[in-house]
Amino acid sequence: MPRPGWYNDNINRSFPFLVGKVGNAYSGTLTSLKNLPDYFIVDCGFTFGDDVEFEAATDSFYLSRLSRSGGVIEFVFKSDASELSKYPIRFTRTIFDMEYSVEYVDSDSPDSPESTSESIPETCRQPFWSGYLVTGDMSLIADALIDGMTIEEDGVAIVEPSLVQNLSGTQLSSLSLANDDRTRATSPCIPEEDQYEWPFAILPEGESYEIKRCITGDVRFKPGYNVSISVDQNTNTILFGVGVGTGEGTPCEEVKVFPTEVGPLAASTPFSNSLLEGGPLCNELVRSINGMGGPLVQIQGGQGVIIIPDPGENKIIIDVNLNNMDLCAFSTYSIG
Amino acid sequence: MPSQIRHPEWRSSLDDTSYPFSPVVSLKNSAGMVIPSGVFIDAHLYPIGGDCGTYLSKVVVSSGIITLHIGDDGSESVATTEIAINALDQYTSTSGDTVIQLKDAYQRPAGVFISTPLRISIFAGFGSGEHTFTKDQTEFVATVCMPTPAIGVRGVILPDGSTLTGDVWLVGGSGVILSYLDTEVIGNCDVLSVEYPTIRIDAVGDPLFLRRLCEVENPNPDEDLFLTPKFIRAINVVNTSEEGSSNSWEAVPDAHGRIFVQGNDSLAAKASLRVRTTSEGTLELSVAGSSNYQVDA
Repeated sequence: MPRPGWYNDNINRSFPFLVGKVGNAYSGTLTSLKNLPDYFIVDCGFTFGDDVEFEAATDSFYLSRLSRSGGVIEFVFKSDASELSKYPIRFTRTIFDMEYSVEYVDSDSPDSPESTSESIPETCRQPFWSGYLVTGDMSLIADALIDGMTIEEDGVAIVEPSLVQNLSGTQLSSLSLANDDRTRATSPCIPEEDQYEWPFAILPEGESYEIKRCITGDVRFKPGYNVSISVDQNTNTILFGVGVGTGEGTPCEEVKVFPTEVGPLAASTPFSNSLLEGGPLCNELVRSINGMGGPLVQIQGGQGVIIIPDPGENKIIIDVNLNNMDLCAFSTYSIG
Repeated sequence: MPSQIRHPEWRSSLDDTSYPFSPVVSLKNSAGMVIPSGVFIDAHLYPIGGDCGTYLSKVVVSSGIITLHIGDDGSESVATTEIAINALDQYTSTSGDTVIQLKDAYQRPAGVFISTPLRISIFAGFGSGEHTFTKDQTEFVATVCMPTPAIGVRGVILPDGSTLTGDVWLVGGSGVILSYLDTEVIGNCDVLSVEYPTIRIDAVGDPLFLRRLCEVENPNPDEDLFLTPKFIRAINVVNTSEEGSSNSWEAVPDAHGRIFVQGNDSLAAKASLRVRTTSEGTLELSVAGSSNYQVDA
């Protein structure tokens, strides 16, 4: 004796909705999802994407909106998980579709251009959630839902909780690159207007320069200056090592933290180099005098010499005055 | 509204079955512990990298906490969940279902059990200790098992055990600079060229590291620990002639930042001006010769 199939069972019971949430008897026009006839939806299932925060114990998902415009009927599912509620899944049918029509649909993503001002590459956009819907006899549905009707109710037509696959936080979907800012030189001059100026906006503390968004596919790491990369296959670990001269060796020029980085504006710095951080080259500073390094070098006048400081003029006068020395009327010796 | 014959509801149609366990398992372990067939209303198990034959492998009962482990052909514990018997409300939704989320070793979702507080509390009667089951005792039906393939990179595990997933940012900081190369061509025996997205890592240091250290470690941001030094960039030497005229020139350091002061040159072989450095770090300029200073007898 033949038995009813899965879909056939479901057009005569609440599934995929919780018992008592839909299918309540009504008369006249369908106006509430509590009265949603069982033959409208016979099966559905949802997969939550990587970015979704969904608490299985407390969050639910449900048919939120049912509408008909001409021959097109729209089924909208939402969840009461906070951010997920902003990105519903919309299934559409025409009243001429076959019974048990199946449709797979992705929700919008917070990364889609309509949802954010940030430019996210298409490869990085992932739907918040995806789902499938199997509908019943569309002629019956068309009879029950008059043209122009919209029924919208949250938290009524709740779907069986086991019909979701929560893949939140289960994959590394892409890599993005950024660099922290380098430490930038400042002028010792106190007035603001005397500070070095860069021809681009310096990021505030805690922010980074974006290099590349959403790298996907088979990613390769390449050791650059002073870097070595090795793999420990036993622990499935990539080891990044740092050592002077490793990788591509010691750099001969500065590496930019973003491709268009340049040094400070020439007019704002006393140094004529083009160092990115705005500091001086080695030959642009007095680092030692006769081998004596700073920060303080003491100059002392010995016999016959007087050192006269003139701090106001940033001047040191070395006066070789031969004071207190025996002097001849004529000498063949030169002083300096 | 058309007349219809209502079929048994999904849940009630399974009430008298062992669902979501397989109809062929005993639900009884070697110690004689029996899992009542109705303990779970439904389940959906999707552990990452899971294998065939998912089953309830272990029930651990300890002081009000029930820990359920599910295993498969590859591992005895691919996911677990802890249930506080005295706080079942926190797992129970407004619809009355107790939805218990299973998680794997990295705290990633691995499935759900659907039950009720009354049904799940049956495990508390097992008594404290570990109660193990084998696959032929507690295997679930295939329809509730949907292992998630573990292909690709599922996440990055840090040394502290935390796991990063989704769009992971790699940020170069403190002298490390990351860059992206659009393509990298590598040849091998079978393929002439392959294009890879390539991340290059440079460890070039931070020339102004002292300033960075002072700023990072400064407990009081209102007070500068690092003041930009006023460097000496050159020494301006001014020579004044006997006639009073003067000329000047700028002594700049060499490639290593060094400046040398010396007391004579090749044109004055017998110069008496001496320039020496002392052990105290002093540059002393003096004239060699006898002093007319008289010491009293």
